Amino acid sequence: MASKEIEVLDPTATVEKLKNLASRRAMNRRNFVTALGVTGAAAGAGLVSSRTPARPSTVSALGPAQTDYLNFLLNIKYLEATYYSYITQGADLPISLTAASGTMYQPPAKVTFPTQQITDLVNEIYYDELSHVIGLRNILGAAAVNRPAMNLQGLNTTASTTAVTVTPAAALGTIRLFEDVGVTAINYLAEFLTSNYLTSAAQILAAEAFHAGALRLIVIQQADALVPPAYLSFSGVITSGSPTITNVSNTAGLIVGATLIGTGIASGAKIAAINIASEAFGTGTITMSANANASTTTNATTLIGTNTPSDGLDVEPVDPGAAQVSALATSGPLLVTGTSNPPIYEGFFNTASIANGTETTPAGFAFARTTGQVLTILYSTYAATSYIVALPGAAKGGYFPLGVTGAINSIPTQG
Amino acid sequence: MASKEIEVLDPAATVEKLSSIATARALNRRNFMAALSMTGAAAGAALLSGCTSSTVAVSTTTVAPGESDVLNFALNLEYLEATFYSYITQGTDLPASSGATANSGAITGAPAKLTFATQQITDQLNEIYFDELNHVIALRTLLASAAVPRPAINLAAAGTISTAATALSVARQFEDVGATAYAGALTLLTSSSLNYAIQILAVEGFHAGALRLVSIQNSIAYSQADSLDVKPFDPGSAATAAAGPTASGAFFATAGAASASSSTPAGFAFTRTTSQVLQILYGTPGVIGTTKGGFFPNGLNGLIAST
Repeated sequence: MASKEIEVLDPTATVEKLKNLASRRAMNRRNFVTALGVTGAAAGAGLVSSRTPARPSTVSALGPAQTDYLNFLLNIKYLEATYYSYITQGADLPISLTAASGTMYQPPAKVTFPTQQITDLVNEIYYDELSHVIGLRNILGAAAVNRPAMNLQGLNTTASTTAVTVTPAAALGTIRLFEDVGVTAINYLAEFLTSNYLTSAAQILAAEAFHAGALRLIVIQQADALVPPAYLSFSGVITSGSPTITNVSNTAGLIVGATLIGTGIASGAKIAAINIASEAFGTGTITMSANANASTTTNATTLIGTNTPSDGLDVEPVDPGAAQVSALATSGPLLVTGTSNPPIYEGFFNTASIANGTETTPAGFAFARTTGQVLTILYSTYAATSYIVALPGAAKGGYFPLGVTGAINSIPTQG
Repeated sequence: MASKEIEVLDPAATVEKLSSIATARALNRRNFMAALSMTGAAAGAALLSGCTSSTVAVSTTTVAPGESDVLNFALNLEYLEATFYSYITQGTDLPASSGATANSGAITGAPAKLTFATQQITDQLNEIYFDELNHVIALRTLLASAAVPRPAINLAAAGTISTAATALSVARQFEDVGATAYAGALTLLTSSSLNYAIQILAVEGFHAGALRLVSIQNSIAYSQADSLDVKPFDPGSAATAAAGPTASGAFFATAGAASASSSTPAGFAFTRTTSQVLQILYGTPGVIGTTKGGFFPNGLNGLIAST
């Protein structure tokens, strides 16, 4: 169960910390219970002291209930199904699923994909995702949450419900991310489920993984840049005439060579180097390829690195090519040169490699993301025109400007 | 470390163990045992009497397979997959360092290293080989001394693998079957065993999704494994695709409107019992009680080895 605690997402997490995760599981579980405001000390002690009942059939007194985890998954499914509905059908989900729904902001317009095969593929995935929403709502019955408000561009605004034209590449990149994140979310949730709930989650997981495997191959074949182009942001301080960004809040997922966007950043400036003095938030330093042309004060400006794949649990969909085929067979997903803290890997599938495999996620295994890690991705704001970072404690943002619906809705604060 | 421990290594699980498992879990286990037609010690009665729910009747004398037995069942499947990919991508058996070759059964029908149509397919299969090899290694590590050795494997059970197209057809089927096998076995596992299984399940799903697309793109021949198998198929129409899988096939092996059931709703992947999996791998469709055949001429190693 080590991979299943509500683990606080630490943007400066290191591989070493991941390796230590297993040994910290009891403490994390205790923190998790505390974070939820559960005050039953005796019950809490029983939970953390007993290893055997890893997935008690009822956990409502000690933490989120199984239905809470399924509702968390339902929120993800609402996002996926709604996005697919707009890009394939040009309309919202069927009205039978949208009763008491929140508002859909900035939905994508119907997308014309480059080939009939991709069009068909995405349409079938729409069928699956729509069916997952229906299936989960049936399983949950009266406990099913309604669809929350969403900003389908991930922009954390509720200003417009006008449809937005998105490129096929952007749409493919977005759904690729959704599928890979969905897989990791269920990998985490499963341990809290039993019986039919567990089997249903596994069946949805398998379908999600089917989608991810195929979409990653499509993205590779289309040679699309990984999109959304930026879903990790960071804040820092720059000085006019200097190439150095100080007080950097978060270097997770950033990659040398990524383009930087922000007030005072010279157009086209890229990350030349990333220096991590410690894991403390706000202590990193980034060297740019060009001097800043304006100064900022502490945390006054948030910069966004573009083409930054993810949070260290995402493998960039890339075919490493003939020169790397032996390395692929012996090492798995390959390190992207110049990445930092945590490194970025590339490959056909979103799995651990020899280099970043851990006890809980060995090489060749798919990753698991805690609910907090999932929300960090979904609550982050991606656009270059918005500078909002999902931080510990956040309960909304990005795709969910009013938050997800249900008991599990915020990124845990570090305990 | 706790996360690496096998929760239950003893097939004769204790009353305490079963008491800790959800009522529905125990019920599933009974169904599972029934599906396996397993008969066993009278200890089963004592086991079931420890269940907390009175709805679980003591109506059968069976011994539940322990979690290590379920993991060993998975290990047999991973041996098959990893060995297959090793030959077609590396031209040799699995490395000795994997532990798979010690005390191994004979490997027959092994294909030579194959040349695939494109570099992309070659690269992809090499990465899949990496994954499967590491699933073997990780499962053996988790099981430790309880890990079964690799059984005898006949890689030519479904026909000689002499071409890339044949290999892709077999690979596609292995991955789809593997995904359903894990999905069907998850409720028999807990804790670290469950976590391992579900993370492997995801990877089998990745492979299946990609290989099915490769199969469609390269017009790879389809051999239907059983009634739950779905032919890799592009309907050639967005509207048709949006209606879900049909008898003609689909991009993904999920239930469609016609094949959906209460246990596998539309859009969900199927599950297969161990018996259903073995009927495919033993080449004995619809036959119960078979203990060997097909890809496993001497049967699986471990307690779960019968259709």
